[in-house]
Amino acid sequence: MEHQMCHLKELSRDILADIFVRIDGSTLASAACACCELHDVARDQSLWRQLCQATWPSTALEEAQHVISSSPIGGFDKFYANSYPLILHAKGTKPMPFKCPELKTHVSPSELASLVDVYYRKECVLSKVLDGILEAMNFSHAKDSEYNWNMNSNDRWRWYSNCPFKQELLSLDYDEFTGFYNELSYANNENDNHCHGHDEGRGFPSTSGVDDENLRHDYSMELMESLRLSWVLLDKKNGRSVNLSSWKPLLVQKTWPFHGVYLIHFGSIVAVEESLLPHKLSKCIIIVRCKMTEGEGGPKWMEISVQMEDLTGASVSGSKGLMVLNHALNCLQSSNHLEVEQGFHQNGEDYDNPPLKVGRSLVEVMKKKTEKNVEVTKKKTEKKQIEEEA
Amino acid sequence: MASSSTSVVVSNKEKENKNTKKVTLKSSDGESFEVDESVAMESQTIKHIIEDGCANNEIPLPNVTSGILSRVIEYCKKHKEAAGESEPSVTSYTSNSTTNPLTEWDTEFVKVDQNTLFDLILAANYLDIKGLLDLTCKTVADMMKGKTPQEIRETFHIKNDYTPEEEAEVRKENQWAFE
Repeated sequence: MEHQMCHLKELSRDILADIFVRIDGSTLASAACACCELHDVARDQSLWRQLCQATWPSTALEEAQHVISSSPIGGFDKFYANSYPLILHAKGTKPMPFKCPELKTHVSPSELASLVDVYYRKECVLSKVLDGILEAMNFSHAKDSEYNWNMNSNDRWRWYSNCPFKQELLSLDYDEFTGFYNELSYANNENDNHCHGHDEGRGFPSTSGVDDENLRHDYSMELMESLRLSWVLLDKKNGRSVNLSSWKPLLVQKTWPFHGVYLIHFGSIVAVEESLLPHKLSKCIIIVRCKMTEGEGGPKWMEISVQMEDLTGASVSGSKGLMVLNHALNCLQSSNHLEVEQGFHQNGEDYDNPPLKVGRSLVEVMKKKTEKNVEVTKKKTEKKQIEEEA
Repeated sequence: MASSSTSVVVSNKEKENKNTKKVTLKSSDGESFEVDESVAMESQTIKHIIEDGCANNEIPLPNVTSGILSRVIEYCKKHKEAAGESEPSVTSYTSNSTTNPLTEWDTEFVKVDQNTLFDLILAANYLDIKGLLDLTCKTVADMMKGKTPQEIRETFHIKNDYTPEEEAEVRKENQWAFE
């Protein structure tokens, strides 16, 4: 039969919606392009809201509702379209010229909200919303933060513009006496803090109830495979958003062999104009420090923050950092994660040779995987040839 | 008098019952199917008809052909049995376990041509059988996953009714999904 009936179109909108609720964002976008009717059903904002909340649980938080609804984002479908693909840095990527209308020269820190989600073993373990870059604004959210000084807004801005760019999601006390981070448990039980005695002799903190064996175990591979982080930056004024993270870690390192503390990098490489930074590139790094202990159900967070470096490794100032973020909001993106990962490989040499060779970078892992794949395919083709000859 | 059957509460834990109440379902093409009342009540629509005391002789189902109705009955029987054997809370549409034999049965059950699949969706919707509707909708959703718009059109025989300008605009809107 040449002319086949289209059953999909025969279904009521309710049933179509029931089907659409089960597909991912990319497929939904694809279905919308198939024909007018599917496009109509696919435009239903509740479908996209569900997808957004499933991908970024932070968007379901009350603070997020306020932040998203007060910006001209135009709907959850636009939010998803902007935030789902990752920043792509490919050879020959050109930044948008400064005169481009989308790029303003001044971005106010209060206009840039952040929605952060962290997944461990496919479960969302942390979701937070920051309404603006608080360090550059008039107040600080962390009561013990070094940024909590009484200054007027001009001084604060001048101070912030010249300090290295940093935006903290969370950060715990640095104990200057021992030189090690004091661990605050996730439930913020401050009493526990002082129970961790310090073995001054060896300089290791003795963590009650945890084996030495456990601290020596290397969780690097596990973190590389199970930890995922998304940091969506939302320009509240213009309604654009971008995911600054790489989802997968770019780097996992154990910071000290017997300490059980891990340093993990996520992030992206943003192309900027030469007048802004040398080499025309900025690395936007999301730094995560956490402690891994067996039987405590996952990482214990010590720090999650965004910092920026240029290609020489020098930190980028606060004011330049804001401009980099401005570029990030308008730069090239890709839904093809493999392409994105390759972009790091060709450029981020730091991610090939970590300074402390204790952990393994994603790039190394990928290299090994590709080598293995090449070997396997070689063997397969050889086998085929033998079979054909027989 | 069939009215006495409507006041009987059908328990999920009921196992062998020599006096199982039966109902007769009549398809749109005039075929009759006799089934256990408990199996028929997997359909909320039929359940309401029975509870309202309207199920005198046969329950007519003008929207469902005999071919589809027999499959639906097969589904309901299988799921009723499975619910009876284990805890009532363990039903196929909530269990994600691949080792669950019911999941395997379900997968085989939906390996049918598109005509049948969509008829099953319509029947499940009309008869209000949540598990079957979930299963069939999920099957269609899986058929769409990862496909380009053209592939979706081909799979479901959809006619492209966009003008070239409209199509270009929609493509641009959704460009992010293809890069």
